[in-house]
Amino acid sequence: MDKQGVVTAQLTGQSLHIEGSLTKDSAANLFVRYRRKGTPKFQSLDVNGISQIDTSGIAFLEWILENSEGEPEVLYEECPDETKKLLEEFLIHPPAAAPVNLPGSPSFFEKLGEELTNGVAEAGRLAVLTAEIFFWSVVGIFKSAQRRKNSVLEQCWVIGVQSLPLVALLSIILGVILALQSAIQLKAFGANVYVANLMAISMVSEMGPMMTAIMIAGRSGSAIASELATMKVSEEIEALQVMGIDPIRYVVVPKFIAITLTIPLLVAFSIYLGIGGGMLVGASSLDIAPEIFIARASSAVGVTDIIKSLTKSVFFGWVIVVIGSHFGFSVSGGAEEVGRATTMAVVYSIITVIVLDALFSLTVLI
Amino acid sequence: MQPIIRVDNLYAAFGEKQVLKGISLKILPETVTAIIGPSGCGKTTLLKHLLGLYTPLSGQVVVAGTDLSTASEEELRELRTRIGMLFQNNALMGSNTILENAAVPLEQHSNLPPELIRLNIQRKLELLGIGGSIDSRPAELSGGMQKRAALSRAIAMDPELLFCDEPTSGLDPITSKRLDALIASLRDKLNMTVIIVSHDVASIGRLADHIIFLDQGQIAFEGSFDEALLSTHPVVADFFSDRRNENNSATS
Repeated sequence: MDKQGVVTAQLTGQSLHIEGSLTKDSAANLFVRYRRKGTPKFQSLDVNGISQIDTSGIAFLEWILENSEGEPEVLYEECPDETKKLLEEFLIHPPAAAPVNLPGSPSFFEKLGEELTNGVAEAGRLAVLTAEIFFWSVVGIFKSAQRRKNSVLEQCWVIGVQSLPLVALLSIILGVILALQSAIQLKAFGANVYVANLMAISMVSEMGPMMTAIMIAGRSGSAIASELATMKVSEEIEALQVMGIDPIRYVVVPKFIAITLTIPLLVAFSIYLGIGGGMLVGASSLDIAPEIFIARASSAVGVTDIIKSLTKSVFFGWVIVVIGSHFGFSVSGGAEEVGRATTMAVVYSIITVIVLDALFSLTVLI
Repeated sequence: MQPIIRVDNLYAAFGEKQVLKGISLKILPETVTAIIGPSGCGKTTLLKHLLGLYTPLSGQVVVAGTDLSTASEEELRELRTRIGMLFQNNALMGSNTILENAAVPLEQHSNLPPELIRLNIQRKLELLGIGGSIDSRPAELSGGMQKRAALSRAIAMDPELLFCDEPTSGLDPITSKRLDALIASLRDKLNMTVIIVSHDVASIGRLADHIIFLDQGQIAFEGSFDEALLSTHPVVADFFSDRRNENNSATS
């Protein structure tokens, strides 16, 4: 094949002559030339001089005919047989075009209405999903039918135990940073020893539950969303439904139960290590003996604070599972959508956790 | 006539297992050749050698004038712009429209502007009878329509050679028949050489000018469909037994 095919186009009187090899390698140049200076006026298109053509060349001829005025005649009788055949198949007697119903572009109000209805529909789906998850989880406590065997234990392991190293590391670091930063301020007032109170209150009521929830949203929320999305894309969800299995009961409920059981434990662990990190800083650079630190810390928080904190964390866990499942189930289409759903799930889980935490903080005012 | 594909004494193995044992064949331009045989006979391995995805252990594979055993990466790339492949599971990208899917080869291997690419793809889709689906996504189409969309991508570059891996698998007999007719018309209209790997005896009978029957890594039979029906080779005879019985009962 002649890759460097040369093609020339010349306007003689009312006739446009195209000669040479008009293929995907040469058609682009002619196209660019004519688009820049405008298509000429001609009454006949003489392609008898074309030695070689392919469907891209024909697409060019079609374009130039569409953009010319009137209906020019195409002269092709002297072309080589193969060229003639292609021209007849695609240009002279093209295959019947199926009617295409292109919707007009919607107006501003149509778009607004569509966005609104979509939003309401999505909120509705989220509410139904939440209700179903809660319903089946409560039922699931008494009836383990339609659940994979040991799936709750397995999920406790994945969501809870496997998150321990991450939660431990970040909680200690958080505790050390908090203690160091607050000590600098408190030292100015000679109130070093209040670092213990501050650590206990901040870890128990805010940092422990919220940071753990953010870590779990990143780790387990994304896993839930991507698992469900992949199952949806590869038609596994449909396969479950066909087999008469409720995908929510089968896939989501074990995770929901597992997160309900494990997240308070993880939060308690995080609080413990966070305060421990603060105690290390206190002992090493603030002259606060560990016994004193522990005594002050435990006097600063009461049992109700701890119960509040752990209860809050359970709500955070629920948010993570519900939002992860919602975005996982809402996927349609291909592999790209799985990534998008996962990202959306993590982003929305974290936002919701923080907003929910703010609402819980408001209860202090009551 | 010069063959467009020539394979000489091709051997292939995976570890200890010999898959192809001295295959030699010639495929003439503008014909439809079917490579058939029982599962595990080496069809896919042979196909991957013809596509230059595997390097021969020994022997020679010449496709459209390029010797694949000595070809450089550059030569292989150039050759692949002249080859179209229809995958068994279509391999369409789910998040792109049919136009975006089919335009990939033209966008990558030519400097055609988007307007001309669209016109070109639109014509091909109309030729395949799905002109109205150019802006749909694969998931919105039926199995047969997806197959045709995949075919439009395979022929986007007007390839000299079109490879089809199980083109009719998963399609109903009527859709299969229409797809076969389309492949035959593509050969006539775009002067393509078509190589099909298939199990579908009915489809092979309709479409193939030439049959290559592989069994245990060797060519057990080569010839026309009618000759295949008369073959005395035990595996070939078994493969075509249903069809042969049908023909017999029809003539008696």
